[in-house]
Parts: sequence; structure tokens; C-alpha cells
Amino acid sequence: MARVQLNSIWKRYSGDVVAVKDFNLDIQDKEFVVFVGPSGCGKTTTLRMIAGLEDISSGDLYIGERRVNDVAPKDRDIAMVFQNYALYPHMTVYQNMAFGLKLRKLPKSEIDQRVREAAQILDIEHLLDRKPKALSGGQRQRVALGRAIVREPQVFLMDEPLSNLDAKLRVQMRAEIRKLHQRIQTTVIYVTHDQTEAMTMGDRIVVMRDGVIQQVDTPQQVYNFPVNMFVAGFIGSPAMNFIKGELVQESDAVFFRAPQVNIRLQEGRYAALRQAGVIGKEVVLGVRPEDLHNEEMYLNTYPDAVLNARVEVAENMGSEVYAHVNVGGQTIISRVNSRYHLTPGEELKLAVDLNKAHIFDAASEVAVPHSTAEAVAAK
Amino acid sequence: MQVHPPWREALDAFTRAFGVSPRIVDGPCQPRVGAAVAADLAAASDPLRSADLGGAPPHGPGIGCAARREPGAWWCEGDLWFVQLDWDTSAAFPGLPADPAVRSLLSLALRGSVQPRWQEILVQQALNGLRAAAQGDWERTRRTLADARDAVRIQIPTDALRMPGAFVWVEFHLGAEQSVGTLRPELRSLVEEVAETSPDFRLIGWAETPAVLGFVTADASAAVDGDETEVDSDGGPSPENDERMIGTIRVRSVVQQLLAALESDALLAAQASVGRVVDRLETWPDGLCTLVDACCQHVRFAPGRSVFAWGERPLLQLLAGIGNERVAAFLQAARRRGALTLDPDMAETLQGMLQANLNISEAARLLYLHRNTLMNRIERIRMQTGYDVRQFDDALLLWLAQLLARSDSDRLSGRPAP
Ligand SMILES: Nc1ncnc2c1ncn2[C@@H]1O[C@H](COP(=O)(O)OP(=O)(O)O)[C@@H](O)[C@H]1O
Ligand SMILES: [Mg+2]
Repeated sequence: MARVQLNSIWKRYSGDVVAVKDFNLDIQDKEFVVFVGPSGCGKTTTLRMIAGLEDISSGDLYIGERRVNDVAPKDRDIAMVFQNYALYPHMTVYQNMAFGLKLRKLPKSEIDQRVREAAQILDIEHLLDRKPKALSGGQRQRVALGRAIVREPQVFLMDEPLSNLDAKLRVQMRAEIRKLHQRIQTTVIYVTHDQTEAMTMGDRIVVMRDGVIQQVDTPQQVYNFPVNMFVAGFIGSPAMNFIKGELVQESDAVFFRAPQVNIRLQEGRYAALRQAGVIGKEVVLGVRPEDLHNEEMYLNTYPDAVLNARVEVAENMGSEVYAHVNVGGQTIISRVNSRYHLTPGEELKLAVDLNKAHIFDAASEVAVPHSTAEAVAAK
Repeated sequence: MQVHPPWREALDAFTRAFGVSPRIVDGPCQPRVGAAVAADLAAASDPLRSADLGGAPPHGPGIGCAARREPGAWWCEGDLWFVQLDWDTSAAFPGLPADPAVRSLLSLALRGSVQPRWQEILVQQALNGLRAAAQGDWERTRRTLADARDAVRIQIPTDALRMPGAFVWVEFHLGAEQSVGTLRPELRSLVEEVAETSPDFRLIGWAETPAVLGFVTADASAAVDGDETEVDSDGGPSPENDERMIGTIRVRSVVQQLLAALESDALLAAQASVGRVVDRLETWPDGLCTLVDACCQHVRFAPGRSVFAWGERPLLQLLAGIGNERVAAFLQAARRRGALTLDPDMAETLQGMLQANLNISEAARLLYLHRNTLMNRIERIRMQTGYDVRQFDDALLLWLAQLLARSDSDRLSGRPAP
């Protein structure tokens, strides 16, 4: 149980690889924080620096009240769970869980107590005498977690622990790890490249790219108010649609214009747009697939924001259909209810839910706040 | 510091137990007389000899001393019994009890006491190879290792290294503690305890780097995880169903497990290089030579990899064999159009383009860039280096130049020199 602080952490590898740049983050005690980003963005490197398995090139790392830059990993009071972590095949589950403690020369009785407690938490007491070979994938994963739990660390570090499991088991284990976190009440730093995993697990998520933090916030906030096109495109599936165009002012109104697209934006957003200085400039309109509607109600609510689309492909997902449509030469995706039967070539009208549409500066790819109040809050 | 020779303790215990006072004879060669031949013949038919004193026939150190007796071997000259203490020293025993079981006791003790020797030699040889390689003297590296066997006449007990398998060099990164230079004893024992959990890993010895030399048996029964092999831009593992490559994959998976165990249980960070899989004990110099080769390629071309195995990336192997002069000439020629160093964004762009087979849209997707941003970057690379990475030749040349320029500027080891 501890707060973890990363102050201006940098990681430079030999040569000129800068893996992590000016990383600043304050993780609260008992918080579940998820680092997410595409492969190679520096998640593992950051986690390994926290663990002490990798040197910190510059900056300060605190675990609890202690600056730990120069503290050996084994004295940092952390435990790690890895992606490829295989159990010791020749040891029983009990021995697997006890091994780390044995190395630390803990008394037998203490080891026994901790192993049994962890086994109970994970509901694997009945498996203690088995060898890993005789376990299912999910059970093995639980043993791997158990090996970390018995250390009773202040901080858990998990690097893509579920990536070797099949999709169904992964979903199940996500929930289990969350439950586990609630039971043991310890700070968890969890790394994944899977945005769904990040969204469903984190109290807060840290979106990274090229070694730089893009945004830190609750999953909901990141989803609703991505700070730039990278975050907007990375979080959410299917990804947010981007339509390139420009903002044009005509008399009192501001329009988003692109080939065959003419959308009158809501007045509430003008102040923020003016402040950002994007009127008259190239911008990108970002709309999530679920915010493009073919239903009458929306078409009537947003008469100034209707797109004329032509269906290219209709991907039936069961409860809904991912309609890949062409608007003025750009392909975008809309999630429509599966009671609509769409056929390729069909014309379709789609209303943009303007409350949820995003405007990005095309040059900087930075999001324009929805309101000036939000802009102030962001600062 | 070794004050006493390693056999001292065993010899003293024996001396005390049987009340004998041996005479130490230095030098590798003993004169052979007729009686010795007779004793050797007698010993050859002595069941204890073949059972306990090692199956090897007694060496006849003839003219020029072409071969020597193994430590622990007994022979008789006149009424004197001799025992080989280590490779260079023997002892003569006046008045030794005739019982062969008595002799075998000392043999066993001596074998135990001198056993570290072949292990130390292997570690030393690996270090010598790495040192030679660090100076870019690849020929000397090969020679050092190829000659090693003759030079030191080491005899590795036949059951010591379970074949087929590969030598492995594991280097530890101690971070802040690195400055101490050596691995503290408790860390050593930690590593040894973790290593013991792997039945296919044999820890041969320690180097102060700190690093260990080990041998991993490519156990045919071991499970091979297909997903462990990373495929790289130069093609990765050869697709041929090569016996040796399968062995390498098995060794790699053992090593990966060991590193994971070290990290999560001992909280020690380590990287490993793996030599070629050898299937006979006599080919150990080749195994060690390829290990050194792998270490060099690892540090030069793939410093971020936790495990690097020899032969997995044929292109790197080829590049590693190019002499420094030629590399310098190539870089000079390549630099004619502009500077070769790329900042990380640009380097990543190049990698992305190669991964996407030079397809701009695909590269933009892989790099999470907008097409225009990518085009900008490509243009910046062209301005800076003179190479247009949309062209295959240019992209390939620039990539090679990156690889070679990087390894040219890095010393063999960003870590303390071995
Ligand atoms: N030891 C190393 N030497 C050089 N570069 C490295 C090393 N380890 C990682 N990198 C580079 O650092 C960057 C971040 O890697 P990593 O932290 O593993 O990313 P992630 O976990 O997000 O996939 C990558 O570009 C990777 O190639
Ligand atoms: Mg990673």
C-alpha cells in the first residue's frame, strides 16, 4: 500500500533511443492505474524502471515516502507479474507460490501461512498439490498472481499478464483481477496494449505514445474528452471516425465543411473554437461510430448535421451492424441497430450527434475543448 | 585468493586417515618404466578402476608427453604408488595399503576437489573470447577458442554437460549496485537457487562482470512455445525445419523461463546470449565460439533483446563478420548524400515503412500517424540524409547504415568491459 510518484522520469538507452520522455505521474495509494499504448511506446520500460529492473536515466521515483532510484529491486517492496511468465513445471502449486519467499529466507511457518491465505483469496486451495501441467490456463494465471500476492508488496506491477490467454478467459480474468484488487487493497500498476482492457480495468488510465504521456484520466473522461487525435483514435473500438475539412464562418454561424459535408456547429462551441484560433483553418472532425445515427429522432434533432452516405460494407455483429459508409470519398463507420438491413450501394442518411463530436486542429492534432470552461479546467 | 591448491584438503584428509606421508611430484610428465606398464595393465583389469576411477584408459605419457593422466588416476612404479593430483602435479606414496578401495577413496575426493577446474577454464575461455571480440579482433577470438582445447587440455567429465545443448552467457544488470563490480555472495546464492529449479540449465561458473556461463540442454521432451520466437525485420528464424534450430528454440525457451524466474523471484534483471547447439562434448570450442559470436551480435545489433541466440538472425551474423575497415568505408560512402543519424521519430518512421513493405497507408496505420504527418517525416528524412525511404534501395541502405553506424559508435559493451 503506497503512493507512487514519478517525477520527470526519462529513459535513454545506449545509442540515441529515448524510450521514456519526461514522465510525470502521481499514483495514489490503493489506486489501479493502467498504462496503455501501442507496442513500443515505453510501457514496459516505465514499469521496469519502477521495479528497478531498469535504470532511471534521470528524474525521481518515489514509492511511499522513499526515493527509490538507487534502491535495489528486492528492497523496493514490489511484486511483478509478467506476460510470459511460466510456472516452475517441476514444482507443485504450493512450492511455486512459496519459492519466492523461500529465496527471501522467510521462516517456514510464515511461508505456509501466506501461501494458504493467498490460495484462499484466489480460490485455488484445492490445487496446492498439483503440478502446473495439471492446471487449466485460468488456474495457472491465478497461481502466477498468487506468487506475487504472497510477497505482500506495497505495489503490484503487472505487464500484460493476460495476453497469453484466449479471448474468453481474458475477459473473465480482467474481472477477477479487479476483484482481487478490491480484496487486497494495494496499489496496482497494470500495463496493456489493449484499450478495452485498459478501459474496463483502470481507475485511471495513462495513454502513452512514443515514450510520452498523452493523457491521464478516468476511462470515461478519456473516452469522452480525448486530448488529441492519437488518444481519440486509440481508445474506442471501432475507432473514432476522422473527417478532414475546414471551419468556415458565415455571418453568425460556424460550419464544418468537407467534400459533400456541411455541418453547422452549435453556438455553445464557438467561443472555444475562437479561442483556439481554428476558425478558417483546416481541422479534423472526430465522431465515434456510435454517435452517427440513422434514426429519425436524431435526423430531426440535428438537421444541420446530416451526412449523405453510401453503404460499402455492412458488418453484422449480432446486436448491431458496423456500417462502413462512404461520405464524399472518405470511408467512415457507423454502428447501427441490426434491425436495419443495409445492403452495399444503398444510400443512407446519418446524423452526427453534435454534443459528442470533436474538433481537432489538423496541424497539431490537438483537440479543441468543447467549451471555454473545459479549456480552463484543462489548464 | 587461492593459497592452497584445490587438492590439498583431500590429500591431507587421506594422509591423516591412513597415516601415510606422500611426496609431491611437480611437472606433468612422469618417467615410465616397465613396472608402470605392468601396473597399468593390472589396473585396467581392476574392476574398481573402470567403475570408480573413471572409464578412461590410463594415459601413457610417452615421449613428448602427448597425453596426461586424469586427476585421481593411480599408477604404480616399482613399489611406489602414484596418484595424479591435478593436471600438473602428482604424489608418490610409500607404504600405501594394498586395498584398491583405499585408493579409490582418494580418487573420488580428488575428482571432487579438482572438478571446478574445467569449469573455471570454460569461464576463462569465454571471457578471453569476449575480450578479443571487444577489441574487434574476431580472428583472434576464433583462434583463442579453437586453440583452447589443445592449449589447456581440459577434460570435461562426460556426464557434466547433457547433450545436445548450447552454452549460455547470462549478464546481470545491477543498476545502482553495478558500481560494486561484483555480485554480492547473497545475490550469487539467489541466482544459484533459481538456476537449480531448471533441470535443463547447468551453471558452469561465475565471471565477475557479473555474469554466469551456463549450459542448457535442448531437451527433446521440453515443450516448445511457438509464440516465443520474435520475428524481426531481417527475417527472424529460418523457416527450415532444421534440427539445430529446433534445439535453439528449446534452449531459448529454457533461458527465457530462467530470466523470468530471476526477475520475478529474485528481482534480478539479466540478459542472455545463446551459442549454437552442439551435440557432442568434443565440439565445445565451437559451442563457446558461437556463444561469444552471439554475445557480440547481441550487444551490437540487438541491445534491447533479453535473449539473443546464435544463428537466429542470419543477416546480423553476416554483418557481424564484416571487418571494421569495410564498415567504415561503407558508412563513408553512404554518408555522401547527408548525415546518417536519425532522431528517434525518424528512425521509427524508417522501421515502420520497412514493416509495412514501403506501403505508406499501412505504415501510417502501424505508426499511428496521419498520412500527411508520415509524408512530412519521410520528406524530412530525405532532406536530412538524401535517401528517399519510399524507394526500396534507399530504405534498405539507410536501414543497414543505421545498424552499422550504431554498432560502430557503441563499444562492445555499454556495460563494464569483461
Ligand atoms: N535495452 C534496450 N535498448 C535499446 N532500446 C530499447 C531497449 N529496451 C527497449 N527499447 C526500446 O524502447 C522503446 C520502448 O519499449 P517498451 O518499453 O518495451 O515498449 P512497450 O512495452 O510499450 O511495448 C522501444 O522503442 C524499444 O525498442
Ligand atoms: Mg511491453
